[in-house]
Amino acid sequence: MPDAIASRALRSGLPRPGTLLLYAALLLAMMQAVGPVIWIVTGSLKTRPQFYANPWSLPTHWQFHNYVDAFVTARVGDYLGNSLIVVSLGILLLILTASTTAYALARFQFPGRSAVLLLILATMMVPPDILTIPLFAILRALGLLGTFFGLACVYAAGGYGMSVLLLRSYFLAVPVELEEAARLEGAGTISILRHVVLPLALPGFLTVVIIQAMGMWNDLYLAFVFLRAADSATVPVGLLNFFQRSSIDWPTLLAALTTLTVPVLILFTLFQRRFVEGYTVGAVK
Amino acid sequence: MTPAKPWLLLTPGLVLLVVFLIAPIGDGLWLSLHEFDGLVVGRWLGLAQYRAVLIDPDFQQALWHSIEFAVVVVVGKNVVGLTLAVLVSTPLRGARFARSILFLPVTMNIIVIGAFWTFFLEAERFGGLFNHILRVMGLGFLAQSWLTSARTALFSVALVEIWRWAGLHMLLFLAGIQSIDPQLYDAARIDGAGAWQRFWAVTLPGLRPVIFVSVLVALMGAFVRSFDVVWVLTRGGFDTDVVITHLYNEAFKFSEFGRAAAMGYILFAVIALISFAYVWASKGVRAGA
Repeated sequence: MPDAIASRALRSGLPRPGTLLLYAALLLAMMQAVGPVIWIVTGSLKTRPQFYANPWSLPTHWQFHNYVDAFVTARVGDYLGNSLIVVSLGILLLILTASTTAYALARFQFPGRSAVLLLILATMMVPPDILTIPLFAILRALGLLGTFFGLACVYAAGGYGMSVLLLRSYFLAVPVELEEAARLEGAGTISILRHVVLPLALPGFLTVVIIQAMGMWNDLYLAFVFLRAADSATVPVGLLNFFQRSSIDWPTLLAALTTLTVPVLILFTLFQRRFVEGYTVGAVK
Repeated sequence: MTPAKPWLLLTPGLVLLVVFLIAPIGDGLWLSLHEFDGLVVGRWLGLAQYRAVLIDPDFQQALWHSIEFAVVVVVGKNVVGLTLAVLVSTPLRGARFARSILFLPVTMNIIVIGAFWTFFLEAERFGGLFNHILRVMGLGFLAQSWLTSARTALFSVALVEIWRWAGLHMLLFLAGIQSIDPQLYDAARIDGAGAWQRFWAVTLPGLRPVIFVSVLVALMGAFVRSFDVVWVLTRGGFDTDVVITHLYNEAFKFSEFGRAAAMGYILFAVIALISFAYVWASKGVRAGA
């Protein structure tokens, strides 16, 4: 293991060739991972002639005119509005459905409980992408095709299984005695949920909201298929149209992409632990 | 606590589950057995549509592409993810910070990824940095249009997909590495095992359950969640047409929704088959772990 080389070097204080090589590998790996972010941000600050002269150089001086273009000609403002509506609706639906299910499965013994759990686990094996055609037909039959609400339902259904499992594990960790004590004090179910369960399960809710909101915010395929009108395009769909034109106005596109990326970067910086939990839940015991 | 209460709580979730996951599974099957143009369900075709799809050379080509893509992506994601995990689990200064940075691509929007990689690999007239690097290294004869040439397009898309998700697999492996008993390493060290031997004798066997999950996750992703990366980089052109892009075109370009539904089920069957085979094959290995 390379860690032996590294720890030996750290102890002796002298960087050995092996350690230097590891540092070089680490640096290279990090550079390639942040490369695109740095590229879109710096590119968005360049003037057109500057960008086309050398797309990989740093901007000589910052200018924000590309952002004005992004909002005016690329209509990023409209797309952002659409994305916000869909993501909020989707998260609302998801939390409403997943938290009630998770609570019922965590707190009540009733016939059919394990069957429900099994059903949820089984449907997690079916990715919604594979159901494109029937979902299309069902959304149309319900009059939801091309609506924000319809897409939000599909998103909520896609994140439902994972969210139920995660929230259920948090609810299971809340001591039953705590709830019973509150009930003896005369608190009703709603009040127990609000004042006892919710605060303790908050990290779980946060993980669900962050991971699922990011998934919905970044989703291209489902929005592309179920929300086809240009006026209701979410940011990725709107920018895809912009990106796949024959002549691309790159600096404007990069400004738009930076606008799309910054909220996720802020979330990621603030809530890294929630990201880790959200992505490893269930995968590692 | 009346028995009605849990079911009352379960109602919203079950409605969502039934309408948007369970009903579509059944409805899709029904549609795949009929003529369906996206608007009106036509006459009953039985399995004729499945037969037509399976003997269609374009579909076979797409299926073959999907399989090639999946093999490269599953191997790539796991090898790169494991390498990164080992690298960031070392006590190097900044290794902890590197974990966050290496996870960044997972959070990036596919259009950002598409724009960057298009520029890096193509866009010869003002960039094509990769070809430029090749020339500087004296490998100029390798330079080409990576995303449009028939020989490299699918492979290039697969590389971008590996790049995009390597951070996620790193995270899975990292969690696995951290759960390995450190005493095992000490014991191996006392036995005189070198770094490389410890990796093969302790780390890899200890990671068996994680590798199993990681491969399964990668497999699913490679087969069904690949539309966006393919579409953004090549628009699903002939050389990179995979099942899911083929299905999309069949429905939304040619209005053959019934056929597209059949393709969805064929793809599902293929994934189920491969997953079951994999789970069955690794059963003995896991039991030994």
